[in-house]
This record gives sequence, C-alpha cells and structure tokens, in this order.
Amino acid sequence: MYPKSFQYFAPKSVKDAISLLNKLRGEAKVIAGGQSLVPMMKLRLATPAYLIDLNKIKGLEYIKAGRGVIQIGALTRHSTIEKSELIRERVPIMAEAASHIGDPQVRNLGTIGGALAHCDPAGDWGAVILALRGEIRVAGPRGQRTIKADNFFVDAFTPALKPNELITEIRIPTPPEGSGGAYLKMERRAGDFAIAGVAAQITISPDGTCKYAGIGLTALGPTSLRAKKAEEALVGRELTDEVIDEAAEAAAEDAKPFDDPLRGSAEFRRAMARVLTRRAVKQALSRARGG
Amino acid sequence: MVQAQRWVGKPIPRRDALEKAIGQAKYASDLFPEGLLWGKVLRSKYPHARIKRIDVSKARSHPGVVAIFTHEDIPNNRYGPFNKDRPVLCDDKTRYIGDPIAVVAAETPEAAEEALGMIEVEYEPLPAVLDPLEAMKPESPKVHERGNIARQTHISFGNVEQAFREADIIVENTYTVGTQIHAYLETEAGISYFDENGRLTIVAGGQSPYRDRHEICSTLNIPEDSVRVVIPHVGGAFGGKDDISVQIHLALITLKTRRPARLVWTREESTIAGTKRHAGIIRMKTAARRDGVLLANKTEIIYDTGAYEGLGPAVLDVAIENCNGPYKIPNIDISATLVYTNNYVASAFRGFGAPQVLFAIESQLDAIAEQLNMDPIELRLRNALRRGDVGVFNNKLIGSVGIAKALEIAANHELWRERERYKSETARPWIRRGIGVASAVKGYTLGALPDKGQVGVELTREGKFRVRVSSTEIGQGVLTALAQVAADMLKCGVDDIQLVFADTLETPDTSVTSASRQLFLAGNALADAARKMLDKMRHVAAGLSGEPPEVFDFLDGYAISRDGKTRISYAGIARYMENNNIPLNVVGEYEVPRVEPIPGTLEIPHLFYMFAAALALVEVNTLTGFVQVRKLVVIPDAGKVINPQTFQGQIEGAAVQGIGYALMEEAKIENGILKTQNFSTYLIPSIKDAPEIEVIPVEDGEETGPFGAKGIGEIGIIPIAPAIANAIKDAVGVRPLSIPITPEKLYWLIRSKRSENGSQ
Repeated sequence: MYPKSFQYFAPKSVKDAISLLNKLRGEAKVIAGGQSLVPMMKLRLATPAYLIDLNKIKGLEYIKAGRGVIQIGALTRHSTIEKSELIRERVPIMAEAASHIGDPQVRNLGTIGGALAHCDPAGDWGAVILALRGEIRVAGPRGQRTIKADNFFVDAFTPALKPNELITEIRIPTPPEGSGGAYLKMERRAGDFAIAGVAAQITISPDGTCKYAGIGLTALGPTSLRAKKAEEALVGRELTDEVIDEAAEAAAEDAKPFDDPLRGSAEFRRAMARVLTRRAVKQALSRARGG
Repeated sequence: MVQAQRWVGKPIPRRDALEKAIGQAKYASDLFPEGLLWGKVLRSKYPHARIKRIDVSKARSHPGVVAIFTHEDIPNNRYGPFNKDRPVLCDDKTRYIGDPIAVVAAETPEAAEEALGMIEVEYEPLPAVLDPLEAMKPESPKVHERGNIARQTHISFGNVEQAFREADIIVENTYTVGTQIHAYLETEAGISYFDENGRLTIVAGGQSPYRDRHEICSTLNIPEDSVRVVIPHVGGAFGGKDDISVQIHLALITLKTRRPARLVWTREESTIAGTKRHAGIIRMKTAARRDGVLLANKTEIIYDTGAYEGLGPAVLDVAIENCNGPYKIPNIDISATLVYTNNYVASAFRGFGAPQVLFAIESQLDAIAEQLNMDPIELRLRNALRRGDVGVFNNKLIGSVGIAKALEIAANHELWRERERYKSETARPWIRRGIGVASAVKGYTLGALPDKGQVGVELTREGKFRVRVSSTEIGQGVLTALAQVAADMLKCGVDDIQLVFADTLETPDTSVTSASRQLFLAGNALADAARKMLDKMRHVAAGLSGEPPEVFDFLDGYAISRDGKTRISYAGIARYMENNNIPLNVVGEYEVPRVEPIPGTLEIPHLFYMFAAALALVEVNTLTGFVQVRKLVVIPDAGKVINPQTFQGQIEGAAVQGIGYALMEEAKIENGILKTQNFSTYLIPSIKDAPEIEVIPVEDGEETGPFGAKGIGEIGIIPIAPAIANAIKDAVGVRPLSIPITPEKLYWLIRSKRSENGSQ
C-alpha cells in the first residue's frame, strides 16, 4: 500500500525540530532512518499528518569516547556502530548486536536513536542498552534530560519520551578490564525479528568471581527486559556451569513472553530464553577471560 | 535420420539473461501506456458474508475517479478451468477475505485507493468454515450451494484389507501439510488498451494466453477474435499464474471506458488473492513383507481448496496418482476429497498436488525401512517401478522410468556411502547430523486430458527462422531451450532462430505452460513443423538445381546435395519462395498420446512420468529445534538435458523452494485472516538458507520427447521435503509428520521423545 499523504519538514537543528514537534503536537512523527516507520506508514498502521525528518540536522551522527563513557549520537546508523573501531574495542557487544539488525540496507539507514524511540519489544538495541546500563539523553522544549535505560522502556512501542522530545544521544558506561559480552538472537531466518534474543555483559574480578552482570532480553516481553534475577544469580559468584544454568533458569523466569502466531508460543520462547542465556553468558565469560 | 546435435546439450546462456540482468527486459508491471487509468480492486472484509447492498455513488463522484464496476457489469459472472464457480466480481456472497467486489478506474493511483474506501458495502456476515474436516460435516455452513465437497472419489485396486492381514509389518500415520504461497518476485500485473485496429489488448503475466483470452471473452461476452492477449516476460509463476488474476478486470475497464488501464497487485494483494498450494491431511497405512516387498497402501487425502476450486480437481487427481510413490504395490486404496472452505483459494503450484503425498509416502517408506532394519535406498530399489512394469492402476509404463537408476546413483554417492562419517563431523554435542533419502514421481503432460499444441515456423528472407509459440517465459528458460531444439532440427545456428512467444495474435496455440511439459509439447510440435519446413525447402532446392529433392540434406544454413556439388543457402531458398509466392511458413502440431482415464478420475494415469531421488544432509539443534540443511543431492530423471545451465538453475531453484516448503513456508490463516501477507512475515529461503546443491541428471532418453528430453520443471521440488524430514529422523530419532517443520514443532517433538525416555 501507499502511505497516506503527509506534510514533510526537514529542520536543520534540534531546536527547530523540537519547536516543530511542540507546535504540531501529536500529529507529527519524527523520521530518522525510517526503517520501522515507513513500513508502518505503508501498512497504514501509522498515519502521521506531518513528518519531521532529522537527517538534515548536523552533529547527531557520531561515536566518541568521553570520560568513562561511550557517547553515540542518536542519528548514528546501525552499520556505523557495527563497523566502528571504537565500539569493537570498548563495547564489542554493540557491534555484534548491530550485525543482527535486519539486513544491510536496513542497517545502512536505520539509526540507534530511531530504533530506541520506536521501542519495539523485538528491537535488538533495548536488551543491549539494558545489559550495559546505558542512558538515553533527550532534548525537549525545556532543555536536556537523561533517562536511565531501566526507566526508558515503558510498554510496547511506548518509550519514556514526551511527544515534544527527541533522543539526542546514547551513553554507555565504558566496561572496565575483564569485561565481555555477547548478543545472541534466534531468528526464523536471517533478517527477521527475533523469536528471542539475549544480551549478556559481564565483568570478572581478579579473584575470578563475577563483579558485574547485565542480562537483557529481546522479544521476551511487552518491552525489552532486564533479567534481574539472572543477573543476581551471577554477581559475586564464580561462573561455573552450574551457576550459569541457574542464571539461565532465572532468565526464563524473568521473561514475560507471549504467544505469537508467527514466532512461537510463549512456552517455546521461554525455553529459548533459557537456552540463549546459557549460551550468551558462556560466550561473554570466555570473552571476558580474553577468549 | 540421425539428428546431429550441435546445440542441444550445450550450456549456452539464456537469451533473456543479459536483458534481464541489466533491467531492459519488460515485464507487464513495467508498462505504463499513455493516458492510462489506474485500476484498483475492492476486496471482501469477511471470509463469508452475504452482500446486501453495494453503493458506489459516493466513490464514483470522488475527484479523479472515472468508473467503478461491480457484478452488474459482468454478463457471465462465473469462470473457472473445471467448474465455473468463481465470480469476476462478487454478487450474492463473498467467500474469502480478498474476494473481489468492485473495480475502480481512476486518473491517479491515489484517487483509486481513496475511492476504495468510499464504496459502501453492506454485508451480512455468515458463519465461516475454516477447517476442512469441519467443512466436510453435513451440518456445516455451505460455502457454495452444492455443498462443501467439491470433489470426492474412491479408487481401489487389489484388496488392501486382505493384504493388511497377511503383512509382516504395517505403518500407519497421519500427515499434515501447510499452505505454501508462490511468492514470485513480480506480483500479478498487467495493462490493457485498444490497439490501432480497435482490438482489445491485454498484456499481463500468465501461463496461457489462449485460455486467459477464453476466460475474458466468456465472462465479458465478447468475441474471441476481438481480443488479443500477450504475455511478456513473467517474473515467476510456479503455477500461481495458471489462474486468472488481473486479466478480466483490466479488460472490463478498457472495454467500458475505451481507455488504457494498468492493474498491478500489491504484495499483500498477491498473497491474499493469489492462489496457493493446497494444505491437506493425508492418512496412510502401508504394509510390507519382512523382505521389504510392499504389499498394500491405503490412503485418505483431504485437500483444502479454499473458496473456489481453481485447478483443484486436477490437483487432487495428481495427488491420487502419486500417493503410492514410484513403487509397485499390488493392493491400493485411495479416498480423496477436495473441500471448499472460506480459506484462500488453492490451485496450481509446482508439483501440483504431488509434494504433499510424496512427503507422506516417502516418510512411510523410511519408517518401514527402519522397522525392517533395512537400508532405505535398498528398500526403495526393491519396490521401484521399471520401464514396462504395470503401475498401481494397472497401467503399463511405456515411457522411460529412471527412478531405479536415480536411486542407484544416490546409493553410490559419497554422502550416502560415507554417511556415518558425515554424521560424526559435528562441532557441538547438541548439534546432531542426519542424512535422508526420498524418491519422487509425477506425470508430465495433461495425462488423460486432451493435450495438443501447435508451433509456427517461418523462413525469413534472410534465411533465418522465426518460431512462433504461445509458450510463456515464466523464468524457466523454455525459449532458450526451444531455440536450441529448433536450431538442431532446422540445421542452422541457434542465433538464426528468432522466437515470438505468448501472443494470441502472433502465435498459434501451444496450449498452457504447465505440467512440466512445454518443452516436450512445443518441442514435438516444432519437430513436425521443422519436418514440413525442410520438406518444402528440399523441393525448392530441387526446383532451383534441377536435381531430385531426395538428394538434398541440410547443414549449417545450406541445402546440400548428396555429392556435395550443389549448395544452396537458406537465404537463396527464401528469396525463391518469396518470388514465386510459395508460403514461407508452416504450422506443426503435436497431440500428446493418452489413455482413457481410470473410472473416478479426470486425467490419470499419465503415459509419461518424471522421477527423481534426493539426498539431504541436515543439522538439527536439539536445544532449539532449528534445522539447517547442509547439502542436497538432487538426481532427476531428465531424459536428455537440452541446456545444462538452465537445467541446473531449474533444479536448484526447485530445491530451495522445497527447503522453504519443508522448513519455513506456511501461510498462517487465523479466522480466515491471512497473517503472512508480505515477506517480513511469510518467510521464503534466502541465500543464507541455500546449501550446496549437487545436481546429477539421469539421461536415459525418452524416445517420444524432443532429442529424448522429458519434463523437469516440477520434479525438483517433490523429493526435498521428505528427504529433509527423513534426515531429521535420522539425526534426532523423531519423525516429523507435519510440514513445515518449524523449530518450535521440532523442539516439542524432541522434548516429548525425551520425556518418553524418562530423561529430561
């Protein structure tokens, strides 16, 4: 189908974009990469009267290292993250996750800010940002604020954003020495949305115990989820196979999957949460140990 | 006369390859006639509803809208290849979501789209029948007046019950098979216009210009010679364009508005309103003796044909014909039912009813081999049909039967001989490998139905040939193969053959492009035409040289006398014929030999069958249920390969389509609503799902075919699903009885076996 007709704006600054958003109130949709929005418009699931295109705004597409933090501009494309040397060196789990998003065309256009704002429970970034305890910087008419990843995913397709706010940056605390991560995604076929996905990020202390554990779940609930019980099962302990099995079991309990006619029953997906968590933690551990 | 083969058997590139690769080839969806109207179809919102009122007045006055048509504009509002049960535009009822109700013609696509929303249809929703087993009950709501049993038949040879009593082992299973969507790159598309001679012209994707024309003319009540149907390059068909799609609606717009029109289905429309492969339930009880000899097979087939029959009655025949596999079985009993439901219309799809039943019988064979502790290929060979044998319907197999040879090649293939080594080479303990085998059989030609085709050959004044066929180029490469055949028959270079195709004005009726037989049919008609043409040319050569006609033979564009002294070029012959008003064209004809149908059937048995064997190597992840096909070996009985390149392409494409059928493709229908309307929800295999595919032809020759060729268009898909299912059984010890074998289905199957064994 063709999208319903709409009016198009291409502001040159964040400020202009926000004042447009403010003026047009719920009638407008922000377009960044458009890889989720445009299909929704074609299916007439979204029928915005106005489109505000962010692509003419300079300075929202970057990846840089700040003090103890990696900063990623909201307009940064998935493929840029996938290929970034900085990301591959400091937070390789993000490069791995990016490589699982859609197909190359989607990754070349789709943006991390757009994907997070879309807040699809099957989107890949949510689990990763949760596992890394990231933060989302947001600009609105009254300036900037920061939302913790834990507070960002309110409900399916509902982020903690006001209608006149824009995501400007994603901040990831730089993982310390002894860290490793893995993002595993189970798909019906390459390029499809996840049946289930698990992001695991861990840090190992010099004494060999687990100092930090972040487990994020994709497509296993109404939003991207943090598997807190699974994290608790790992922190402070030596990560033996038994401990990891325990965490995997906990992740399956943390999951709130639902039946999907295409991508599997709730019970199957819960079982997959277990399988994927076990494997993701093992992989993260081996990477944390320099494997 | 021994025919020299210079072009047949050569892997020459397809003649349409370059123009397609660089985007120059025109498909129907590339055409935008000047001054066109945009067509759009309003489709039913309900799977089953009475139409109480259709009000188009608001939509008609919408700016840009030129005309809106409903059933009132259709003189004969029913069509269909067997039973005319399908309306051009719904009148009394709608029978599935997507049933067409009105056609809008507008100046812009936007206006057409908007007008759809302004047409008021008052429906009275009726209870929908969505399960074929429910539909078969007499108390079930009726999809059609005549009831929900579209066709039912029972065929029996020998005495199965007695054989079951005497058998050493009996295997009984119920198989279910899902609905597969053709998913061609190009959706159903076409344009229409009046040509300069006032002839209504439809250019649209299809598989038979003459039959499409017949359907247009019979429904719109216009003379056939006033309509021209052209089928340009088609972006894939696989049987899905064997039925009418846009053609009648286009003709209607142009006929009534006198303006050109364009109607191209969206992907969603294509998945909804296009035909599909029949979903079905197959119950099978198979008996064997301890030594592996098959004694009996009792089969019950139920196919869901959806709201309309389409080619369903014939599809059911092919299921009946092939449900016993390529085997000698003395006692068979088949009950087959074609059921109407308010689901989507099922009709022709590569394999035409055979892939479903072959999945069943080939799984049965594997289960028997397992119970007898016998090599599965040995079991198949023990029962395999051979030329001259009498088939299960008491039909003598006079054509070539290559299944035993294909199975022998499979048995000697490294993948089979060293299967224990292959299976042991897995990287992780939870990944299990398995290797499976399956046979396939299907008739080519239209079987017991009359089946005749004509081909025109014309000598041009340059001494080249123009070959006219109504065969359609649906991606299979038939035009290149025919050019190769023509060049060898007419003794000239392949580039001296020009092909004119699929046009009711320019080409004679070579019948529908289906049933894997266009090369066989057109090739044989071409042989007749070539004989007539060369005979004419021989007489002209005689006239020109004063030598008797019989001394002339033909080579490389020359008529050459036996002593080699007289050489007359084809161009010289052409000029002479033209100057003396000798017609430069001939028409060849071929009627496919056939026998009387078995009582209770429409078109079986065939006289000509294709066969194949396949091996599959799979990896099963026992923790997730995911299956990856690592390697396929496909061994089709090809008779003679005309072009190895297009042959390989056909078989590889069919194999990948078979992987989709086995593992991922399933049209999900809930309450009559299709949940898989595009490629983000309906998954077809991508290059990442395509394994190494080795293709080994059996080339024993079929004397009745051109240069020994048989059909190969459909056979490649048929053994794939059972070979994969058997490989899965080999890998993890559970037998999938339902396709597609999705990860979740297999996951639970593996789990249930584990809990049976008492472990976790």
